Amino acid sequence: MSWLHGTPFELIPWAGAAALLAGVLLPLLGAWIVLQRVVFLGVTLAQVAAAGVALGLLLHLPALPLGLVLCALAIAALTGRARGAMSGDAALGAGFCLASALALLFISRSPADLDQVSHVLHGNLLYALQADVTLLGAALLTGAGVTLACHRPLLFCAFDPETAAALGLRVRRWQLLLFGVLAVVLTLGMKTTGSLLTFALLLLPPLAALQLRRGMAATLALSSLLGLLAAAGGLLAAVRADLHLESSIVVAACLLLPVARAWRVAPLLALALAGGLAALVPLLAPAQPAAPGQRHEHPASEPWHLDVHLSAQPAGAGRVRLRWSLDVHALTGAEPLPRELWLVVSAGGPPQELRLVADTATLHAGEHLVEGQAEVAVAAGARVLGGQVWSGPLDDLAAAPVPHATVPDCPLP
Amino acid sequence: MSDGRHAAAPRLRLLDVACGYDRRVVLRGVRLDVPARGVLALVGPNGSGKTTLLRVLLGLLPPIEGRVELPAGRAPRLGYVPQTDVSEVLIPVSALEVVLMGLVPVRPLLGRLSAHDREAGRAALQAMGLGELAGRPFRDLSGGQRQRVLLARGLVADPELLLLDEPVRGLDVGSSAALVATLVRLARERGMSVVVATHSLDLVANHADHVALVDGGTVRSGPATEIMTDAVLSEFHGRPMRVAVVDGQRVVVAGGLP
Repeated sequence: MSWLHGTPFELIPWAGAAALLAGVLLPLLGAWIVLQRVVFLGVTLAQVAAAGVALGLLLHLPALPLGLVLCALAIAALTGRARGAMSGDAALGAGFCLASALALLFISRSPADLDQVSHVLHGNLLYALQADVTLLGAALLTGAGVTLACHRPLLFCAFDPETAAALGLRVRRWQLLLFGVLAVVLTLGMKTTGSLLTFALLLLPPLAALQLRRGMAATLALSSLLGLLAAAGGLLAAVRADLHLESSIVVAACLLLPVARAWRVAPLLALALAGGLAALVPLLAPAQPAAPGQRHEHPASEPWHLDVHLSAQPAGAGRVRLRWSLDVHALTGAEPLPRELWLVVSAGGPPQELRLVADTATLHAGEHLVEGQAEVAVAAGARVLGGQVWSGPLDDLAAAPVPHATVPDCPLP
Repeated sequence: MSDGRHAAAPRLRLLDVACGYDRRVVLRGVRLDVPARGVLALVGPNGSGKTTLLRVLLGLLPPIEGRVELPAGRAPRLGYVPQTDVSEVLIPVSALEVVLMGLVPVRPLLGRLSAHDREAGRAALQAMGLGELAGRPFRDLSGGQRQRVLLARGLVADPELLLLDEPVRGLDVGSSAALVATLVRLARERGMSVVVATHSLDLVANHADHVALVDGGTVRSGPATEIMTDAVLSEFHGRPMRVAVVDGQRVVVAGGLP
């Protein structure tokens, strides 16, 4: 669509949608974590959810239910009597260490490769597919809706749990509801947003909103607005300066804190600070010119278009044999393609990459040009495999999705 | 405040109660009636078990032995005013929002409070002399103002039994007197029963109808006229104590100090 021209949504539409959804809705949930002073529970549960996903990879079991079960066990152990004489913070610290170590151990024993390790622990926002964004959005909307509907008892339990209990509220049940919602959101969102980004958006926008010292309703609204600004700012910075996407959003969320602080001193100072920070973004861009086809301005009528057609056949437990064919249309040479073309596919698990074309100079438009096949892993229960065309392998920082390339979803056998 | 006689059935009755935490018994053999009207003061040194006894009366701490009876056949509507420092001042709530928390347990938990409820909250603040501060953030209030906001929250649901934990701790003399005067007036007007845990013997001597002395792992209770005497207080504190009257106010003076 023309109004998306030049925005992150033109290049990475589902990543953009996932980031904005998380930016708007995660802080609504995170505000309660901050107000209940159980911030460390958020990061610990994020690691537990990651360990659950990793265990799923290792045992070839459904990762999401496993993550939820581990989170439920962790909540029971970390907040109940099972923690014994340990303080809450100490128990959460111990739980964080254990969950982080278990996630690494499970992954080191699983057949997955190192990219999958990174994606489980740090998310794969850039490769988000429509199904991922739908799942993330449903989880976040449910979580935010539950906390908004229950805000009066949650607020009382956070403000003065002793009196709330004395007057008949089941304080522990309300806390468990909040922690349960958090566990569900973290587990379902882990695959897309990763633990670092999730935790940052839970924590930082509410902290910045609290610095503005408004009422409760305004603080919740500001948390959401600031989360949206951090997500949008991080997205833009990542695209403009070719930065790591999740880290850009996290840094943008961190910068909310000094900007909010400055706003309390003088709003103009805060605006100047935010403008100055935004002006620094282009300086972070790599010195060498961008690879052709990645960050140039596209004319309204594109000189070329790519179509990748996929088909899948069973190839043993958890694997399929994927066949692809690549068509190039209207290749005029006016707009050069990237030198390489890579296919990034995902079927309910971390993305996998396949090289389609080593040198696009060998391509000719209008021909049925490239075919190939490879075995790829699919998550249990996955019904569809989606993909994107990229200008390089995933570990190449200069690589990016190739615009004007379509890869229709492929049904799985 | 009253003559100490209470024809109505007690709100609560503790029969041979032992209470404490985990397996550590703090108080044992407690027999105590919470009268249907008037002020019952729980008095004792730090660590004697006043707050533990208060938690039993609130239902937060089940007795290890003995039982808590409801002579009226039903649990009274409770109000509770904790010490001010248990509230989480990080939370950005206004004085009115704090007061309205007192209605949360007696209204549907989901959804919004009615305009009538909000009016009741404003009236409770008005009764505490804080009508002008309804929109002020709780964290920006002084200690005395916070205590009165918490008292308004304790009263907003029209309780039959109001329990207070050290309500005048940390308050200056003027604020303490104003708070206590308001509390006693409201208790009288509404026919409430009030239980207050306090260190302030002067407050007890002037306003309590019944007194429970808490120390040494047990409780001795009775009408204030029998407990707040030189002999009983001297025995309880282990040093000469005297209840004097100055300008119509009772003052408890500790003797035998170096």
